[in-house]
Amino acid sequence: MAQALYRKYRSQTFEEVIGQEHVTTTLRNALREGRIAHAYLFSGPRGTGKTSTARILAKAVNCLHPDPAQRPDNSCPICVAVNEGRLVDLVEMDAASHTSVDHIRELIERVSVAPAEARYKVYVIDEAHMLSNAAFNALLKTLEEPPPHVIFILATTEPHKIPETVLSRCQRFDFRRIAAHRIVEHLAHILAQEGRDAERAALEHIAFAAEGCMRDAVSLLDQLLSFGGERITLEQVESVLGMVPAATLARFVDAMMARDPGQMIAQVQELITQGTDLRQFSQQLVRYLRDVLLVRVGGREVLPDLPAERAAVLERQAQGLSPAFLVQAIKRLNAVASEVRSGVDVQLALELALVEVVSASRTAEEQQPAVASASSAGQAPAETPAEAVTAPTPPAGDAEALERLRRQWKQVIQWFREHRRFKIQAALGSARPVQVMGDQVELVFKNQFSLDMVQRPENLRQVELVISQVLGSTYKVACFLEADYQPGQTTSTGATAAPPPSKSRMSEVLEDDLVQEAVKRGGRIINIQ
Amino acid sequence: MNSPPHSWPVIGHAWAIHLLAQALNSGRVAHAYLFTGPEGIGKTTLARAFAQALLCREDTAPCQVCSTCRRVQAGHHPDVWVVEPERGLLRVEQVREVVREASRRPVEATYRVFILTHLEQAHPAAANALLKTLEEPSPRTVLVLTASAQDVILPTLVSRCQTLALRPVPEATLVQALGERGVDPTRARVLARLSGGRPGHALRMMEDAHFWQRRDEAFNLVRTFAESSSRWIRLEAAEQYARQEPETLAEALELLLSIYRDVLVWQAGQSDAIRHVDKEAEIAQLADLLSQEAVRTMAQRIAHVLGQVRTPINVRLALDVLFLHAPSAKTP
Amino acid sequence: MITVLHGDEEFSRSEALVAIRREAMGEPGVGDLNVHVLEGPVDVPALQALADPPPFLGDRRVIILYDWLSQLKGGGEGVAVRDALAAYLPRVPETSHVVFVESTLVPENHPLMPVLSRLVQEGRAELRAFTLPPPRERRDFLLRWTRDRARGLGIELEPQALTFLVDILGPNLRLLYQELVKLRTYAGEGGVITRADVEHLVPYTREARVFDLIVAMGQRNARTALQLLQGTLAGGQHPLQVLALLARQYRIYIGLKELDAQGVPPEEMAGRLGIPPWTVRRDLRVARRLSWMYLERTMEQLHLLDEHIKQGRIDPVLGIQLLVLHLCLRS
Repeated sequence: MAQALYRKYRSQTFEEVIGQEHVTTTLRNALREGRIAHAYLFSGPRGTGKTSTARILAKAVNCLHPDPAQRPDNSCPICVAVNEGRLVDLVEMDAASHTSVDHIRELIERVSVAPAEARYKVYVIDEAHMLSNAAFNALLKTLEEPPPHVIFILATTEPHKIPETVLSRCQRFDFRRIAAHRIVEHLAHILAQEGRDAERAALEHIAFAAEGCMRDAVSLLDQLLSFGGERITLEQVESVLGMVPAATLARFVDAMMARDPGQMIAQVQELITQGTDLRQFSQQLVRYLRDVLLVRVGGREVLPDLPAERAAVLERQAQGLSPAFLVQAIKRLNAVASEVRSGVDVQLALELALVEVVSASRTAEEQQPAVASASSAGQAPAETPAEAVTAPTPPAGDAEALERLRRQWKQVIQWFREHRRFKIQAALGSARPVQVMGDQVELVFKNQFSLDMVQRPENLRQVELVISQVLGSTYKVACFLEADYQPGQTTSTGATAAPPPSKSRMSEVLEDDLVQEAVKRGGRIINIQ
Repeated sequence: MNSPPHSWPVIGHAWAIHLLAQALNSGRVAHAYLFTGPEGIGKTTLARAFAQALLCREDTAPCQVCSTCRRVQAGHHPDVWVVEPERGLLRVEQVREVVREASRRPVEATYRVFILTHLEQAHPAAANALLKTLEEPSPRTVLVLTASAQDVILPTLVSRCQTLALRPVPEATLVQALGERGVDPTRARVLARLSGGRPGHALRMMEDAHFWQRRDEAFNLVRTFAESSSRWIRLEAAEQYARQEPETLAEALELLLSIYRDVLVWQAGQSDAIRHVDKEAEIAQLADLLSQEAVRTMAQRIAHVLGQVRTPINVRLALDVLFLHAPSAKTP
Repeated sequence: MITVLHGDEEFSRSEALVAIRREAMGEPGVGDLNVHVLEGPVDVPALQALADPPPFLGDRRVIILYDWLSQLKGGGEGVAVRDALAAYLPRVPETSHVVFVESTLVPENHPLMPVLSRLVQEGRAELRAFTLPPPRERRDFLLRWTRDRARGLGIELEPQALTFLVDILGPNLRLLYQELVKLRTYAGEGGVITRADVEHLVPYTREARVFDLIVAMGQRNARTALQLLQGTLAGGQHPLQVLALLARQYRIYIGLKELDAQGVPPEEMAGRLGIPPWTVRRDLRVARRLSWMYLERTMEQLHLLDEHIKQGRIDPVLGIQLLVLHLCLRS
């Protein structure tokens, strides 16, 4: 039975450790000058080389090679013993399974005993953050007055859980996430050694999926290799790993941009026919939308590891989706993706979530260009909730308001279509804005029927809200028959029941999460007090 | 990926079978596998079939007829162990026993296979106990772990296994399998769609004598609600439903949900996507009577209550509130 | 000889103790036998038993007692022990060095002070205090101390590197020293440390970046905030750490804003909130610009995210990314 790839290709010298140059340089210097600390702390995400480096250091301090700069040489009896896992003076402990203070005490009692064969006794404690408080205290005593022949190496993914008293007695090194291109290089190296081959795109996808964790990347490669095949293709990577092809995800998001619930259901059906695991798909969709969001807000640079062919598509999609929409969509879909209870109908949950997400209102910000700019620094925001980047600035005057409304008239009608208010949509289709006077928008209608439809109190209120949102300020709406209309008329033939709410109050209400929740559940904003 | 035909007693998952068979034939069998996927998709079934393939000595492994294959199927083979959680928990003692047995040589066969199911229900101590064995396995031992998903178990466990993520089985495959078991084609399609591509689920529904009757009752209820806005009717229905055991209640609610979902789908113009393919007329009628928003909201509410059914809530009250929101033609 | 090492500045105090021990050691291996550490409840007979006998093959005996004097301040049973100690101290043999290590300052009015003062005048005792200077002078002290230590180790810190290091690590001398040793190992003898070096090698510099992140968030500069966040995460910081740092900073803003509203002068604020004085001016400016609603809402969002991450309902990285963007984009 084959040895796991990640063990076979585990780094055995400092040079072989990838992506942590600041750490390995310092350690090698320390060895050369004989300035070895009594305690080290290696922290950082998993699979970035902490345990490997700990072992290399353990070898290096004990290696028998005469030249410190050449240690570890991996051929002296000490190095070989470590590599075979039988050096008595190297104690590796997993704190996750040995958290109790008794284990630590046992360890510490043996600390004062001189090393059996090697120069130093090295204790490597993995997942060190899992030690109990009592265990940390026991450890602290030894760290305060360490015997000269002992070295502790603590490794952890959560350094914030290590007490400060312990932290300050260790020389701490933070391990970084490994850049995708370095992972790809290493995978290519392994392939060459194994006499196998893979498409570059396949490797890039593995690296991207690994999210900076080398061990995950190598394990993924291992799985692909063990399942045979001439040359590893991108298709294989996606298939074996259950990853939805990037093209499918892109197409799906394009469909989302059309905001058509019917299309969403159709897309899900297609996924099912292709045999996709929907829960996994939801997770990948969430991550994909997150990437679109990142690119939208921060530009391409915030995703340096993105495979090339994905970048162009993401950038295009980022232009057409507002950050607000993306944040909401991600939250809603994440709920589906993280549903861990078995037996839940994922297909249904996903369909519901998608229909909900694409039925939500389109904000005016989606008309504006990408990369939200900073609001100018130094301006003090008001005491009330500051203006959102998404809300347009109110028009400077009547003429500007009219102009803006005319330009956005199609979007106003679109809104009603998306919300299935077909009757209002149709009615507004026969209308156009002709004048703005103060806080009143005047619309003329081609026929009485349409005018009557829009003038119904509940419809009129909605029209006013949408127009107000588009213009960024509160407006009333007055309706006229084209035939009857004369510019300059200020008496409206419609009636609004209550005085319009203040702008900030309206923003508050419309953007209030609670209200949105209620609206989603079938409620409606009846009136704003 | 077009996979060659096989003799494994598994519905669907041809790609996974192909990969496992290839690993077997090329002598690259890993010491640990992890099969993931939703409940009823066939993880344990596949694991057992894999065990058969590993142990069966015939050319047509797994042949299904030799003594080895039959004993594995029946659960009586001394070299195949299946360990399941007890009362919802996989305990450390169970794992320790596996670890002990795993260090012994096979009794008869070439391999010893240990199948541990529902790993997401493993006690942390049990999961940890498993780590050592996975790190330093004995030769000739194969562990097959199953879990609902990768991300609900210890990452250190996952990284020591070869993972196969089982996906929903294509409708055609499932329909054919049900057909081979005597189910009529239309009903087979309904079951295949309702099961969401999960063979275990579909087979369970197939074996449930009262299933079709319960489905008819569910349709009747939705129609009753649609035709009448009476609150009292809804409350009475709630009372009736509340009398059921949590398991049957959950199934009944799932049926209701699937009906509302079909209506929603129909209203969105995707009539091909409905699950109750033999009830088109009914669904079309409901789609006409009810507003889209109301249907969507009701579906969300049912999904929400489904999540609460096994918790200590006042079930009757939850159902009262739920059914009071059931839409009628008058609901906007 | 009597030595009292007292005060809460642990690092220098420990160094002093190490120096004393080393003096007494003489031959390695033999010296150990002449060093005694007494912890827990001690009485004078026990001390005498160790201090009276002559040293074994060495110059002196060293007896180290931890936090004993602080226990002898009060009345009750302590009085008898105290009196016995006061009587014994002048009679400690010359070949013995009794070292009291106290983690808090011994006050002027300590009952044993008269005896100790007398012995100091006779040249047979010394009291060495180890505390940091008062907050006002502390930063300058830290800068000088760090610069001197660096030189002692054989490296030079560029001014920007020095201030960065001190501002990040604060008044934790042990931590400062730890990082200096590491920087020295990295750069070698005669090396010059730049600010970039500090950023790369000193893990705690992430906190500085998180501060910049918060400023960007307060300005609703989503693009910058995101870039800073991504940089922090790529550097290996765990999202929960970022969350904790954010919470800490917003807590400070709330505190400052409230004190400001109460009319408390900025000079007092540092002391009241337990934060370094030089951060008050910079943080107060930001706190004044953020509304109460924003601050309270932010704390709530941070809490919710923490809960959701720990319940496994959201991936930590995704969660913190969404939170940061949400806070930048919402009104």
